[in-house]
Amino acid sequence: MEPKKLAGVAAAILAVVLGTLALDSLSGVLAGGINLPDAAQNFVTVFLGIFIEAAPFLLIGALASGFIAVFVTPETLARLVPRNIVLATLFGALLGMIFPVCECGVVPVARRLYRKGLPTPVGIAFLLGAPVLNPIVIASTYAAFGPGPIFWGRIGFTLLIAVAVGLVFSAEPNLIRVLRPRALVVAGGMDPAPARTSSTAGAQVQAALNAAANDFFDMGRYMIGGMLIATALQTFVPQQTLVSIGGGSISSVIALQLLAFALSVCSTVDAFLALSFINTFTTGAIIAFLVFGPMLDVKSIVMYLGVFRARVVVYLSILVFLMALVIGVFINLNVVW
Amino acid sequence: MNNRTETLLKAALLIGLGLMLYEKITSGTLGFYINARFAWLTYVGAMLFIALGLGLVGRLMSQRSAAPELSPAATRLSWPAVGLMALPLALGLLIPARPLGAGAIAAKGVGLTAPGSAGGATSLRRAQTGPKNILDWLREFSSTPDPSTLTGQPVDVTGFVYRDARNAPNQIWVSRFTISCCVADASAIGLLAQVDSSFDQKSDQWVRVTGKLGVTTFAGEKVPVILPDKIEPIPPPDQPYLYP
Repeated sequence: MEPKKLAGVAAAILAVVLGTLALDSLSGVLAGGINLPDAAQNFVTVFLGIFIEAAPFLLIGALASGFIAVFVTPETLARLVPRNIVLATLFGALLGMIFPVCECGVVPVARRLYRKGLPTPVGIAFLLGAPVLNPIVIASTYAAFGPGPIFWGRIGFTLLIAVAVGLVFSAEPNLIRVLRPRALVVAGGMDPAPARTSSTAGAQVQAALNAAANDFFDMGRYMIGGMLIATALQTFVPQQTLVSIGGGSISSVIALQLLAFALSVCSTVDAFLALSFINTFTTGAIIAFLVFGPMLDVKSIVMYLGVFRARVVVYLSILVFLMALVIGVFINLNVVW
Repeated sequence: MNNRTETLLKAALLIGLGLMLYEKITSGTLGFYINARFAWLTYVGAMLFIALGLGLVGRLMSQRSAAPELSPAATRLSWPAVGLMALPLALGLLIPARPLGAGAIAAKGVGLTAPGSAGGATSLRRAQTGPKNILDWLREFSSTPDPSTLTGQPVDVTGFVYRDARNAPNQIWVSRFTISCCVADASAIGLLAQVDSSFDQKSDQWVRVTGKLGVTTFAGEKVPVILPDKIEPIPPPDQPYLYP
């Protein structure tokens, strides 16, 4: 270790720690003096609330992605994915059972799997399915609603939409036309060979951690951008009107879909939120909220734009919105629970 | 920026974000942002941030820093991106932590009346310890068709003062926010209280109200109202929100 290098690193760490402490004590001083206007203060509180809730999930997703980068080879992946396109898409939708990620964490994992050569429709199904079809979200939905129609509806219809939309995208197998060029590192869409050259397990874990850190920054900027929009929508747009149309069999579904889109609440905890709508909204609307929200919200749409071409994100959004709407309205009109 | 600067910057941001979460935990203000039920996630997040940051520092220090990178040129960090990533850090440390207040009701406005209360008929009732809070009362109201049957019941609640256009001059709301996950899903609930002209507490002031229930007319409906014996200003509680 060169002394100069070491000194530089030590200085950087010291600067962060001292800077944090200084800012911290400064904030104590400011607390007495500067008061932001109410709207700005509430904006900050809501923004930090979403960030504090979502950041751990993005970190877990980035970590999963980092370990895939190092320990999963494209050959392994190719062996695992079924040949049959329908089975392969189903496999993608259920992949979340192995990688329990929410809608923030799923994006870096999907991008990483694409780099490992995952077929387009399988990745789309994973992206849409995994935020709900994973052990954590299934457990939290069960805790909130029990084994009733809402629980089974959420699981069944998420699977249906994820597989269906995945199959739609099987019409475009060429990854280059689906993904943004920068989402694929090298031509052909493959990761560089895993760091098998660094033989020790410790070095491999460190490589995985470093890949995770880079992934966090790649996706974090989109997540934070999306959070800013979500916070603005919440702070400055009254929600009274949305909630006041809870009874109509069509309007209620649209209202809760829009609310899910604007709130951008993490899929791991949104079941508890949906619980509070149960007296005011129709069953179809609540199922649409629980199916649509994890697939698409302000925050995730901005993250998708970091990975997919804009045209693809538009198709994806319209398809998912309409399918969830049809399902919600169908339940309201045809099913008596 | 070159590779080293970028790695250093990323490490600093990651460690800084970890420390910001740590500060929220130790200062007891985490409850201003998320439901305490999910606090453990923040612990995990703080540890992961610091671990990833230290991992990058480790790479800088290791002799093998010249080894081929896993995420090469396609993932360069631009300065605007750095600014975006630093935003939660700066806001979290610079802006004094304050829970949502009366000013947020106007935009949130999900409803202060009993029927809109969260989780009305569900089984998530909290174990009764101490006097009923505002949420408990609203649940009771929603299962009581005729409010006058509750007249005379003793009330002892805390909340912040809020007034809106529908209030008569001698009425205030004693309000709380309920949150399920984080402040993003906060909705306001409240009990009406009858006050006399000497009452001069501003909106957002936290108060403890003791008294008895009565009935009043609000927006054309018969609703329960607190007839206070005493309204005392109190400092904001450590846990400002109620969890439905």
